Amino acid sequence: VSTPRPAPAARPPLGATVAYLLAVAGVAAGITLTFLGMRAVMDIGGYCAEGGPYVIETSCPEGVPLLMTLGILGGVVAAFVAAAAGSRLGGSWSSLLLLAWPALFGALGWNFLEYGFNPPGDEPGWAWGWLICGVVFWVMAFGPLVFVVMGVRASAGSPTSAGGARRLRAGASRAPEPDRRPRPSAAEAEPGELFAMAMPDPGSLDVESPQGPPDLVDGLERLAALRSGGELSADEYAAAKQALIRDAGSSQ
Amino acid sequence: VTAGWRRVLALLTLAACVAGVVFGGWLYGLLT
Repeated sequence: VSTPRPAPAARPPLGATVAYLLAVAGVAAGITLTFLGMRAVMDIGGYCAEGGPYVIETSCPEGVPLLMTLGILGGVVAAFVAAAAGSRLGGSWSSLLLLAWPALFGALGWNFLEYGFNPPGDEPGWAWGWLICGVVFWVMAFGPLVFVVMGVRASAGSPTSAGGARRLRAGASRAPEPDRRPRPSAAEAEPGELFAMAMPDPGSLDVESPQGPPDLVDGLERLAALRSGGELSADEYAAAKQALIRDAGSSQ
Repeated sequence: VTAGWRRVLALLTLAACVAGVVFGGWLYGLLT
């Protein structure tokens, strides 16, 4: 009597899906509010103030303090909600939220660069302070993306990855052969290969079990040491060497 | 989750991003 295997979930859970999509929209709205609020502040010189006991030289544009607060805090809360709901969807849906980082810093960096090249007011020239901020923000935004691309490219060649598994299945009719290609040096390697080079070669991790055949190279080296030490005659050495090679060949 | 649903979810996520940007712009225009 065979019991039917439970079928995999055909579609994602509705509640988690709705929560995830709403929260993703909330993150996008938060970034948009922050982006627009920052532009409004930069239009009036880059700083403003509201409230407090002091005389304020530059008041903030109406509604901007509230909207920027809402954008930043709401965006953070929405990101947490989206990450939690995404984890219920499985896969890498919550990891997708990491793209909010380059989106946020890319957008704000754009503001710094745009206003840095065309600062408000009558003074000619560039606003170097903003340009530097823009460059720093873009490095923060897009630097991690470079590592993501490198990681994806490196894992695409791994047998454990989906792409690598497909390639293995495609060539499953013949026995897998060890990769005998020479590993490239760091200077000539592509970025993705640098990750692979940092990791140990999977073949080098193969360990013979204690019951397995003795390592042929070790055996030969021991024999050569005995021969050079004079403990084996030339005939004994040749016979032992032949036996060792024969044993190693028959055990594979 | 099947591959078809993953595609649907990816499209919905993209649509949610666009909707969020539009909503944020609308809210900004409303309150400023």
